[in-house]
Amino acid sequence: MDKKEKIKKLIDRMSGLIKESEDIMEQIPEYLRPNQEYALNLCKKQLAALELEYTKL
Amino acid sequence: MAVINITPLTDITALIASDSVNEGDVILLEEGTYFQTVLIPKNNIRLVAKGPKVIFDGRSTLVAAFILTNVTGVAIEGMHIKHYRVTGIEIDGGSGNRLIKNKISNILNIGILISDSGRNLIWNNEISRCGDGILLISEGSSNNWIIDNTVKECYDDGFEAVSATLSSNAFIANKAIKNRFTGFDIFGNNNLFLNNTSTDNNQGMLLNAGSSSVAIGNEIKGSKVDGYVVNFGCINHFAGENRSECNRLAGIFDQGENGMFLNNEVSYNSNSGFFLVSTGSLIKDNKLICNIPQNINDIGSDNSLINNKEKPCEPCESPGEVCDTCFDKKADNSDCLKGRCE
Repeated sequence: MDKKEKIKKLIDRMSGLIKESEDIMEQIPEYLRPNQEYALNLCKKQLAALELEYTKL
Repeated sequence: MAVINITPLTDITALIASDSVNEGDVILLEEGTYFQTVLIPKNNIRLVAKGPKVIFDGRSTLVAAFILTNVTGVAIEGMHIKHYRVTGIEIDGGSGNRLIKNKISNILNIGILISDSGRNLIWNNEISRCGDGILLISEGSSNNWIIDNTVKECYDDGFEAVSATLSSNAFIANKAIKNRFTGFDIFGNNNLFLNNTSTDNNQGMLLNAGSSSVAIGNEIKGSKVDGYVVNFGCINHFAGENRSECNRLAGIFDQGENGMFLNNEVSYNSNSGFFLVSTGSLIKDNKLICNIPQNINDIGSDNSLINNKEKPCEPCESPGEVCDTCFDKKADNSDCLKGRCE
């Protein structure tokens, strides 16, 4: 698998997990949500870094 | 410096953020099941499991167990982490943190993620059934020590670094076992691979674009495709005293430029021992045993083959037969590689 495919695969997996995690946020007790939102924002930052890497290829 | 005992009822993030915890303190976790995501924004905090049953269970709803953001000197030791959605432990920025003896399983994405962070020690962790085991991304993830970890049965790669700008990461004595894609898939420059093993992964060890990386004493066996691969764009790579055996394609597949392969043992591979598409590689003093269809297949250009010892298959001997004997009988290699047709 070449680098472009590899990064695309990571991007797809991470995008899907971020979306699913946002969808299930309501099931999470309210007192835990701020940390989940923080974690998801970090994921989005990493996703953006991967997308940037992908566009350079 | 204080030792602070906590239980699963403690909100660890809030505790660390409070004035009750200062740099240098040890937070000692009582055994029990914790359902939380711990954010650590303070330097030099050590979170230590009091016993083997300190369990962080995300119940497939929480995103991550531990997040270290822009910190130095934080340690996470002895935790059992499972069922988180995105990562087990994530280091984002910062440097010099220690992740030690954690067991991480059933994470949908990454067991340990190092993003834009250097000089961390990742030692003696066991990771299983994740997407990727240990992943390094973003420019600053260099100079990390990845030592004595085991990653098995992940549905993507065992150990992975995806940016060609990463450099000087050391992978020492790690084991990648039965991962669905590659045992070690590493981009970047000046990386060290010492005494790692890759067993029964789809592909064994893949050195991707980058220059001047060094691989010594690694063992790659039972890959479903190639064992040890030097990819296009890999320059001035050195591989010495590695063993690559019983892989279903090439033992060593070199596509790089100006590499050097010295004293490697390459045996019982099913699409040549060395398969060379490379330019200017030096292949010297290697031992090649019963690789089919040939021990060295050179279709590259300007490669130099010097003093390699080649042994063809014995009558009634074939890689498939010898290797199947090995894996079926689960014998150690010294015995099972003696297998012959009966």
